[in-house]
Amino acid sequence: MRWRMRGDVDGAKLDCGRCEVAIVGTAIDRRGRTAMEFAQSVSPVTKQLVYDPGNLRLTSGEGVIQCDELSEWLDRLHPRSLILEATTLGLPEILLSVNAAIEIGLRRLTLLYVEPGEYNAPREEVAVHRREFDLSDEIAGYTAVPGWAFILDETAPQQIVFCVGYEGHRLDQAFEQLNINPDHSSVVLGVPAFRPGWEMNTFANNIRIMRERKVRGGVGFCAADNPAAVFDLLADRYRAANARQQFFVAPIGTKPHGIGAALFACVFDGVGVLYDHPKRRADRTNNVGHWHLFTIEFDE
Amino acid sequence: MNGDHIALQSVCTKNRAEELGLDVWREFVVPLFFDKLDIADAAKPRVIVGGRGCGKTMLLRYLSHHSSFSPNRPKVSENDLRHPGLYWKVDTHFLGLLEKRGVEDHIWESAFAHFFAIVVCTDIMVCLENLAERGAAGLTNEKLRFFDLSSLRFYDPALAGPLPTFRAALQRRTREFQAWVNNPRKLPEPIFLAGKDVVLALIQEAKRQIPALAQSTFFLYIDEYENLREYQQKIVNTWLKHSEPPLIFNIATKRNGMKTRQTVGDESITDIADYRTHDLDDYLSENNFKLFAAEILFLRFATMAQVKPLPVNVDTLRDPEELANRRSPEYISSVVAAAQSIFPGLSQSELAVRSLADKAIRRKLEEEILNALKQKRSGLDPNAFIRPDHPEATIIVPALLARKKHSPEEILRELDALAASETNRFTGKADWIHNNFIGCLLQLYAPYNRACPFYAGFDTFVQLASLNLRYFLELCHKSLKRAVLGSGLLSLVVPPEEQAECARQASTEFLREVRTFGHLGNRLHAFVLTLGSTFAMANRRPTQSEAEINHFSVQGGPGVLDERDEEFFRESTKWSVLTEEPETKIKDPAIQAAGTEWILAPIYSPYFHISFRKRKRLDLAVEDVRVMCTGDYSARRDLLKKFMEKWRLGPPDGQRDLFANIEEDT
Repeated sequence: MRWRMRGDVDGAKLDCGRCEVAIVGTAIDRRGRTAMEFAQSVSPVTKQLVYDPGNLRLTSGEGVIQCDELSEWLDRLHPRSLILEATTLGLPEILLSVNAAIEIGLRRLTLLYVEPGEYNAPREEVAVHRREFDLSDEIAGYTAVPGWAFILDETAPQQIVFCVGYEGHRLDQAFEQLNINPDHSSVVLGVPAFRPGWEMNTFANNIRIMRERKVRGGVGFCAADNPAAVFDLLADRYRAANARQQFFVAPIGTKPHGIGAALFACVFDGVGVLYDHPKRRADRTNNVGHWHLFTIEFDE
Repeated sequence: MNGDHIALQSVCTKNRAEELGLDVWREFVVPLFFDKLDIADAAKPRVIVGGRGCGKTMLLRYLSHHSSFSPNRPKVSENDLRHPGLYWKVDTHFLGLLEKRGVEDHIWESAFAHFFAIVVCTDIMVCLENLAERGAAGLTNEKLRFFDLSSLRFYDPALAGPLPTFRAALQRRTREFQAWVNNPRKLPEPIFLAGKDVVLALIQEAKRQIPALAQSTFFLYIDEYENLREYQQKIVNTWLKHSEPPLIFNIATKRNGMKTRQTVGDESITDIADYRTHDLDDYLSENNFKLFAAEILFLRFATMAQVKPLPVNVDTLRDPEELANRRSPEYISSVVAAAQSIFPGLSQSELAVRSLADKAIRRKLEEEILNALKQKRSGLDPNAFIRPDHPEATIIVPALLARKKHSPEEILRELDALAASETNRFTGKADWIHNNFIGCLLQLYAPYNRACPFYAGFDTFVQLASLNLRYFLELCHKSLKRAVLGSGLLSLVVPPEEQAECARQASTEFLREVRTFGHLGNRLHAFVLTLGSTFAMANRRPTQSEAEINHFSVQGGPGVLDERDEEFFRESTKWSVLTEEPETKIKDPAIQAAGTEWILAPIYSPYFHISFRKRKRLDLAVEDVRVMCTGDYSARRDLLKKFMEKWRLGPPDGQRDLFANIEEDT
C-alpha cells in the first residue's frame, strides 16, 4: 500500500485528475460546501452517503443501504477511480466506503480533506474555559459500526489507541461508557497541529482526562494532517501487540487521523473501532483552510 | 505518623469502582443499610436503583463471587456458598449491534439469549475456579478438572466433557458469535444456545457434583441494565419475573433506567409482586451517610497508606454482623469527629471573624456600606456600621441598607441594641443574621478569584457530595494533597481555605464532566451553566431579599411541561444533575397545585459561587426553562440579560455572569 499526499492553500491548484465517482457527505458550513463542489467538479457521478447510528445503516439519495450491501452498491457504479470527500463524510461513512472500495478490488482511492480556517471560538475571556470548543451538538454515544465490533471486556487483554482532538469530553465519555481498561489505553495527539499553537488546545483538553482516568498506555504524536503517520503508528502497535489482545482504535480527533485509522481498520484483521457519532454543530468552523488530497494505491 | 506522605495524599485517588477491579472485598465498607438487602432471602429478585456514585457497582461486585470468594478474604462461610453471586456488566457497545440491519427481530432475540448464556456460563466457570483456587467448598483445581459436563451435550455436543473442554468450546462460540454479529446476513447463523436453560443446566451440574453447593441458589447481578435495548430489557424482565432457585436475576440501574416494564409476553413486571426495589439513595440518606463517608475515608487510610491508629476497626467495617455496633451513638460521634478534625469547617461566627480580618473583604464591605449610605443620601458615618465585636451582623449590613424598608438610622439602632445585648432584629424574631448571613458572605467573596471558606469542612463536603461517594472522595483527594502533616493522624489537618479552593476545583471538573452524561450531555452541560448562572445572579442582588437561591420550580404547576421537557428532566434526574422533590411553600394554593421542585446538584455550588443549602426557590416561567434546556447561545444570553435587568444588576456583575459561564456558539 502506498500513500501520496498533496496539499495547497488553494484548492484550485490541486490536480487530482478525473475520478469516476465521488462520494460526499452532508455540508454544514461553507468549508463543507466548498469541498463538495470540488469533488463534484472532478467526478461525473456524485453520490451522497450518510450513516445513521440509530438504525445502523446508510442512506444515499436513492434510499437505504444496509452496511453489508455497500460493496454491491458501489460495484454497480463500476468505478475505476473513486474520490471520497472526507470533509463532509463522517468516520463511519469513510470506514465503510474504504472497505467497500477494497472489497470490489479498487486499486486507487483518493480522499479530499479541507482544513478549517478556525474552529468555533472558545470563551477566551475566561481563562478556565479558554480552550473549550463547541463542535458537537448531541453525541449519540459509543455504538459499534457493523463490521468492526468486538466484545469489550475490561478484564481481558486489550490495546486501545485513541486519536484525540479538541473535545476532551469524548475521551472521558469513552471510559465512562465502555468496558475498557485505561491501563491498556494510549493516546495519539495531533502534533504538529493544523496551525501552530492549536496543539495546546488538544493538550489542555485531553491531558486532564488522561490524568484523571489514569491512562497508562502512553502518548504518541502524529501530525494532525497526516493519515499515513497514523496508519504506520497503528500498524506498528498492532504488530507488536500480543496475539491475545483485543485491538481497538478510537478516531475521535482530526479527520486526517480518522482517515488513517479507517484505512488501518480495513487493512488489518480483527481491529475494533470505537466511535461516538457526534452530531456536528452547524457552523462549527469558520472559513476555509489548507486543502489536502490523500491518494492510496493498493497492492495487487 | 506511619503511612508514607505520598501514600496518604493518594488514598482517595481511586474513586471509581471500575478502578478497583472485580474483587472489591478489601476496599468495601459494608453499608449501614446492608441488612435491608435481604441477602438471606433466596427467592425475591432485586432491582437496585441509585444515582451516579451511590455505590451500585461496588455493591454488585461485592455481592459477586469475585469478592465473596476473594483470596483476600480470611474465610468463605457457608452462607456465602449458599448464594454465590454472578456478575454481568452490560457491554452496551457490542449489544447495540444486535438489532435491525435487515435481520428479523426474533433472530436478534435468540442471539441476545445466546450471548447471555456465553457470558454467564463463563462467569460460573470463573466462580468455580475461584472456589477451587481457595480450596473452598471441598473443591480443588485437580477435582475441578474432572467436573463433568456431559449432560450439556443436548444443547451443544462441543460443550460436553470436562471443564477445559467446556471452556474451549465457549471461547470458540464467542469468536464465532462476534464474527456473525458483524456480518449476520453473509455468515452462517450460529446454532444459538438456549439462553437461560443452558445456564440452569450448568448450575444444576455444579450443585450435583459439588456437595457444598447442593443447597445453593445463584444470584445473577446485571449491572448497567439501563444500557440494554428495549427488547433486551423485555427479555431480562421476563427472566426476572420468572426467577426462582437455583437462579435469581437481579439488576442495577440508574434512576429512570427502565425503558419498559413489559416482558416478552403480555405481562409486565411490578414492584413488590415480582421484585423488591432497593433505592440506594434513599438508604444512604436514611442511614447516616456522614458516618459511612467517614468510614470509607478511614478504610482508605488503612488499606492504601497503612495508617495507624485509626478511629475505626477495619475488620468491623467489612463484617455485616457488626452493623449494630456501628450504629451506636458513641461510635458515630467518635468517627465523625475524627473526620471533622482532618477537614475542619468554620462556624458562621468564625467565617464572619475571618472575613473581617481579611483586608480585601473588609475593604469591599466598607465600600458597599459607603455606597449604600450615599444611595440613601445619609450623612451617617460608615464606620459606625462596622462592629468588630459583632462580625456576623456587620457582614449583613450592606444588604439591609440596600432595602427600601430599612433606614440607616433604624439599622444603626438595631446594631446598638445588639451590642447592648437588648432585644434586636439581628438575633431576635426577625432573625436577620440567620436569614441573610451566608448570602451576604458569598456576595462579599464573589469578585475575587478565591473560594469562600463556606465551602470547607467535612460536613460541608458531605453536603456537597449529596450521597455521591465519588464526589466525596474526590473532594477529600484534592484536599489531602494540601494537608498539613503532623506526627499522627489526629494532627493531619487541611486548612479551611485550602479545602474551599479544592472544592471549587472539584466543582469545576465535575461540571465539565456533565458533557459525558449520555446523548444529551452537551445540552445538559449548557443547561447547568445557564441555570447556575441564573442562581448566581439571583444571589447577587444587593438587597439579598431572597437569599441562597439554588432550586427552582416551573410556574403553572403539574402538567405544564410537555413530553420533550419531561424527557429532558428525566435525563437530568437519571444523571443526578437535578433531583426532584415535591413542591413546598406554594405561594397561593388556590391558583397553583403542588408541583415539583428541582434542585441543582450541590456539587456545582462552589463553581457558581452559590449556596448548597436548600433555602429559597426561584419560580421560572416554562418558556424560560425551555430556553435553558434547548436554547442556543444567543437565546440563553438574552435570557440572562432579562434576569439581569429584572434584578437590576449593574453591568460589571451581569457581564461576569454572562461571559463567565455561558458558552459561545459563534
